[in-house]
Amino acid sequence: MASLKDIKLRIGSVKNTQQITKAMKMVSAAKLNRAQNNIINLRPYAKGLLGVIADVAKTNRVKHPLLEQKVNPRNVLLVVVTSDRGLCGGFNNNINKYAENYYKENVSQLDKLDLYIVGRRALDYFNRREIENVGSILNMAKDISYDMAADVADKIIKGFLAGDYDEIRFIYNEFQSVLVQERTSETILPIDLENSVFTNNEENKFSEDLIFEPKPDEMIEVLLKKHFTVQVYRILSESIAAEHAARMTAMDSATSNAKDMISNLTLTYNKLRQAAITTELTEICSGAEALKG
Amino acid sequence: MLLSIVTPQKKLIVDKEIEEVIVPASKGELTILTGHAPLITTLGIGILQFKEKSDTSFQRYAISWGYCEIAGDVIKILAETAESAEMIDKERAKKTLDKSQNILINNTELSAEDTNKHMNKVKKAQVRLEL
Repeated sequence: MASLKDIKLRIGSVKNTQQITKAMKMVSAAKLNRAQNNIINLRPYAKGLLGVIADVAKTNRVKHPLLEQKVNPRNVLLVVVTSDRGLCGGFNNNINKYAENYYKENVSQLDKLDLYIVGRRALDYFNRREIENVGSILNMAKDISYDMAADVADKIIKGFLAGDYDEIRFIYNEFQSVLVQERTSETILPIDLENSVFTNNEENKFSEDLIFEPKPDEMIEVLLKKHFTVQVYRILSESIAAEHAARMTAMDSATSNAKDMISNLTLTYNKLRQAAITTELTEICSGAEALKG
Repeated sequence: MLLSIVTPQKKLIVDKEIEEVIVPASKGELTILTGHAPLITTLGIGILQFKEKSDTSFQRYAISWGYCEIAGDVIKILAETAESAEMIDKERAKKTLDKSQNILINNTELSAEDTNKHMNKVKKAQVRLEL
């Protein structure tokens, strides 16, 4: 049985931990707010860009390598998006396990399956398993900017246009709500316009004699590249928002666990203290009785 | 005419009633007045200016890549960055300018791609400083 002093120390240490988890929860909540705003602010831009791509593509029936759907992709680049830090529940583990399974299932069937890694958690995970990667980005959560996403997108798209890959697939956590982060596996390149553009385009306000400057087929390339950049930015922002949400939930339950633990320990402590007092009293009483006799 | 400017970070201007707008289109500056033909054009690095009806002077923004869409009386501009003079960190722009210029001058064996990248940086910084 633990002594009174031991329990007191234990209570103290749990209280300290609780304070830390509480602080972490608060920090995550603030960061989550910012990350969420990022996603919301991006939407009008992304929507506008898709709209104009649809207009250009529809009125001119353009063809572009970035739009060509492959029936059987042979060379795939897998982009695994995780965070740099832990303490966020199953956030990273989910992604890592899923990506590893995907890798193992498909690596023998494809000509090439490369990994591109975002976040230290995935990098360590795959390094431990000696699975090589073609590139990685770390320290992104600090300040994710559009410029940074543009750099990443540029690197990836170069490989695609050079013919190194014919499919780019992202595995990441999509932010759905504070409580729900959905693991998502999504093909970003080639761009599937049928799904994303033509189905939800209700208005067609453009006339056929619209002037394009430069020529539509030159323009579509730039637009598609920008669209990809926006997608990458969106995915990184989603992942960051999901990370903070996951951490917030994890730290919230850690804090309430600590609270339960403290109340249990305090109960034991009080019981022990009472028992000690009772024993002491009995001892004194019986001692006095013995002296009388 | 109604003007909106949207960037990935935020909606900068939403349906503002304006009289005249000058955009840095990819093939040179383009002034748009009421009744312009429908047009889609990409924008380069440069200064975008517009004037409200009551104003006498132009409001100016430094923008990098974007595009401009004119349909009827509505002008939509999507820009990767759009900054007014107050938003710009001049010192940082100056630093980038010096750094990229140095790289361009001192490295003779720069790949075409890198040259392009630094040229763009120089141009962006120059526009920022000009504003």
